[in-house]
Amino acid sequence: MSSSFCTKLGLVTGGAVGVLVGLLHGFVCCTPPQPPTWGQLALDGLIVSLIAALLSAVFACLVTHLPAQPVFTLALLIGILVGVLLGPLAYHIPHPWLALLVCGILGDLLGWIVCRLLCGGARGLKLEVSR
Amino acid sequence: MSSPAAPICGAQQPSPITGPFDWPPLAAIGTAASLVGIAYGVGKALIPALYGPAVFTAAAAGAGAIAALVLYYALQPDGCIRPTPKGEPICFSGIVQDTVDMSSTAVAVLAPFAMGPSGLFDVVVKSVYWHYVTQNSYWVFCNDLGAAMLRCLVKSKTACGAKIGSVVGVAAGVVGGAILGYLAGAALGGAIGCAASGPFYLLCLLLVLIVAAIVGAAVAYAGAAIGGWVGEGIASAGGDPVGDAWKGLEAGTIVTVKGNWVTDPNIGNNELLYTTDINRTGQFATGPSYTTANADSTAADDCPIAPQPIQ
Repeated sequence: MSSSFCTKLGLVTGGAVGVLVGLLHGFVCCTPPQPPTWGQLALDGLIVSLIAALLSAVFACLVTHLPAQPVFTLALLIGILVGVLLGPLAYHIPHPWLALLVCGILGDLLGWIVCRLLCGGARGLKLEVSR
Repeated sequence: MSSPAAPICGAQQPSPITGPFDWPPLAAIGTAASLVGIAYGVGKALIPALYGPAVFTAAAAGAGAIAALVLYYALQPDGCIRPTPKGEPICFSGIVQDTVDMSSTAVAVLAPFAMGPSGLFDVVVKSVYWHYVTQNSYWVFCNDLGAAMLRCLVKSKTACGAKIGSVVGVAAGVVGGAILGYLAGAALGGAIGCAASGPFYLLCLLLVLIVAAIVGAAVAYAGAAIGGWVGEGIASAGGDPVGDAWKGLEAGTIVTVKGNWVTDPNIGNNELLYTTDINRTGQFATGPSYTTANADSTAADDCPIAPQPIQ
């Protein structure tokens, strides 16, 4: 699997988490206000990133000849990592456009790392399938 | 005069392909961030409700993501909106090894803006044209008999129409998507009453934002698809001599081919992007795999003499 695919997947999921969780910035529940916990924000990020990753994987399988199983496995892994790590970060960034920019770039980086570990070189775990 | 050495199949140069820096994703994320900032500002100025600007921004972001997707495909250098990479016009001849139909009904219906070339065919070239296969290439395609082949891509007229139509369609879809997505999100938020959901307030609000984004994206996607179908319909009218000639090719056809000669940026093989003329001159009796000697044994072609350039 090309690392370009992973970085694009990370970029899209990171951007989605950045903009949607970033838009929650400033909203807190209850009286007196209770700031959301790290776990709540990670769950929020996870929901957004998994939806974005799933839709991206479906589209990738539609328009390319990539095998479905590795595509969806990578999408799941990148979605989990991006959601859990970037959800809390996105909430704490004051502007949604900045959250989109920062999380998109970090998502790109996380996607590259996942691909590097799973698909790169003889020492990595192999997700390739023979054609 | 001694004959040139036969090309070595596979990798030609030890270093990887020196591709250009992959700037489009970074440009896309920068542009998306700017548009989100503008949408949030517009939302805050126009919508007084507590979370109205956030819902509008989510809807606009969903629609904008589809616009970015369509533009990504439409602005590929494939000769539709952006020209193909500048190569050299060449002419060569040989025997067709195989043809590949790259069209997909699913893509044409569900994602017309992502349609690619109609197809390709590989030609076992005469030895006098080996330099077209090897010069500056990082990879040489060979068949199972070890004969060097040049890949020829055939442009799809309908794909170009679909891309242009999708760009027009998504422009309308983005506006409709932002408005309809906001209305859907606001209606959902009003119906479930997020303010009264206590500790689930953020989760409820996130659900509203996701619905707004998905509705915005769906409307924009529908605009792009409808525009693409209209574009396909318009483009399919009229003749396509190269496409028609390509459909008539089969393994063993002896051809003289002209086209724009470039090096593929991903694999590194030399190829025709795109083929501009296909002239059938005969049919080889046996096959389907052919040697360079088979190609050399065919009749002389009418290509202008192209001596091998000095390396």
